[in-house]
Amino acid sequence: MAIDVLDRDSFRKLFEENYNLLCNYINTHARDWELSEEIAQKTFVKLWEKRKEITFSTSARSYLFQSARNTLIDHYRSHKSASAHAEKYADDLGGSDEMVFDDDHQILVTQRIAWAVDQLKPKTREIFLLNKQEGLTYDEIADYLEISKRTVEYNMKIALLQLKELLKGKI
Amino acid sequence: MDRLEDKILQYIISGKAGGDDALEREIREDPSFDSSEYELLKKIWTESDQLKDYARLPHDQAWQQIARQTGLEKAKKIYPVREWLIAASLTGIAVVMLYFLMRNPFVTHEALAQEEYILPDSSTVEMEAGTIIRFLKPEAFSKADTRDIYLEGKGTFDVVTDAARSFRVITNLTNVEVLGTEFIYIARGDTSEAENIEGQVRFAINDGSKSVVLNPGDKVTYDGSDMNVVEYEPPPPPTTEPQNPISDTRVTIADLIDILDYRFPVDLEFTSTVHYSSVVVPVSINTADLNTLVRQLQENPSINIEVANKGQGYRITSLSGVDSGLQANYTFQMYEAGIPPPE
Repeated sequence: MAIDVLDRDSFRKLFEENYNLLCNYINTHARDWELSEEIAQKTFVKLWEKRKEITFSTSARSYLFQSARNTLIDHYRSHKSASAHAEKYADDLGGSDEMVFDDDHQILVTQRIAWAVDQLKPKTREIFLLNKQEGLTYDEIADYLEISKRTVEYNMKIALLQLKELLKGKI
Repeated sequence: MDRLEDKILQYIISGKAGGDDALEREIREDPSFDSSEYELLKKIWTESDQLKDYARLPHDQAWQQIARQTGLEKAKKIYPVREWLIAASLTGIAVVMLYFLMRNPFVTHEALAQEEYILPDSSTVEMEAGTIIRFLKPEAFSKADTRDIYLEGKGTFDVVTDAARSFRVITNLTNVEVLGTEFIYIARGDTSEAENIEGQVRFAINDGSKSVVLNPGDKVTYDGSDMNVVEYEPPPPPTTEPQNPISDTRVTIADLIDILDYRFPVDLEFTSTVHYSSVVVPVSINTADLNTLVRQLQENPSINIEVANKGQGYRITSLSGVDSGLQANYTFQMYEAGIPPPE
């Protein structure tokens, strides 16, 4: 893709489709949501400013993720003296291979599952997320929602069945 | 779900998948076993653990930041203006306002939200947001021959009786005159509408061409040319329609939701505003037809339900029960197990 065709609308589209994903990806390294959002925003700003100089060798998404990783490394390097933690991450990230961002990337799989979970019926979704996101056991969910454990299990099974249909061929 | 599917799902959600060799072997040896479906289920189960670290972040603020930094959304230009010029203008405006305020014999009040306003004679007006009233300042108001209120918007007036002075509400084209009563008056542009609540009121066109006396419950509208009076008709006596049979089945709201969801997985949709509760209600759950069942739920005095139509079914946005201390005698588990309800 020639970067010089990136006009305002396609840039906005790229942002809408990738901002959340990019933040979540950065956070897998940074473990700091505020920093992750800051890096993601810097990455988009950099992309827009350099849109006429860059050519994509892969996809726009891969470019974004590679660029975000480099921005994060730069951030850590500039804070090296302040934190041993930052130094370690800068070395780990900087030392690793060029990133390949393919369709099986963990964060893309998680995003697709999150999308599919959003399609579930509200009650089933609530029960599934209480277990998978909040880490509650079935007994705890039953107590919390004042329902039987069997109803919780029934909804977990329904959730899994529906997720399978929604995600077939996608993960 | 069939027997094998149920066994697989139970095995996976138990968190033991991959750990119980005997059970896994049993599943895999079933003639209808589908390996790819099984692996997909296991993958979804494992990968969904990552949701713990996944966040849905708001986009709008981030986009605004980016748009600002890239110049995609230009900041509004502020033209340099001498501060003294602004100060002088503001002072000038203040002086002019003060002059008119001191000369103006009227009090003008605009309701920013719905409110009850007390007039100088202690009559009250309940004003809808955006409604404006205007009347003489209190001293002049109490000495005037008539108590005149100018109205734009909607007001419900409760007028204190004063046998010597009538109370008039005047709008652009019409007015209502009373001695003491309660009525609603709406005026928007050239259209007026009055409804009398208590006593008698006289509704008239300001030029004196037409007038009508309204009794309690009567309504009148005037659109600038035609006056239309609707006289109050008492409601017909209640008919004795057959009531819903009182059911002997008593379930919690949580079980009722589960049973309905189980019975009509496609035609009934529950929104996230529907919440489980342990309140027990009497209800007929075996009604065969969904439309009749929904109607019965709506007519059930123990149930509060909000329903909207959606395609071929219904969307339930609220379902709660009136707690009357009943004990449940039927559950979703009994229903799922095929035990008939006691009705």
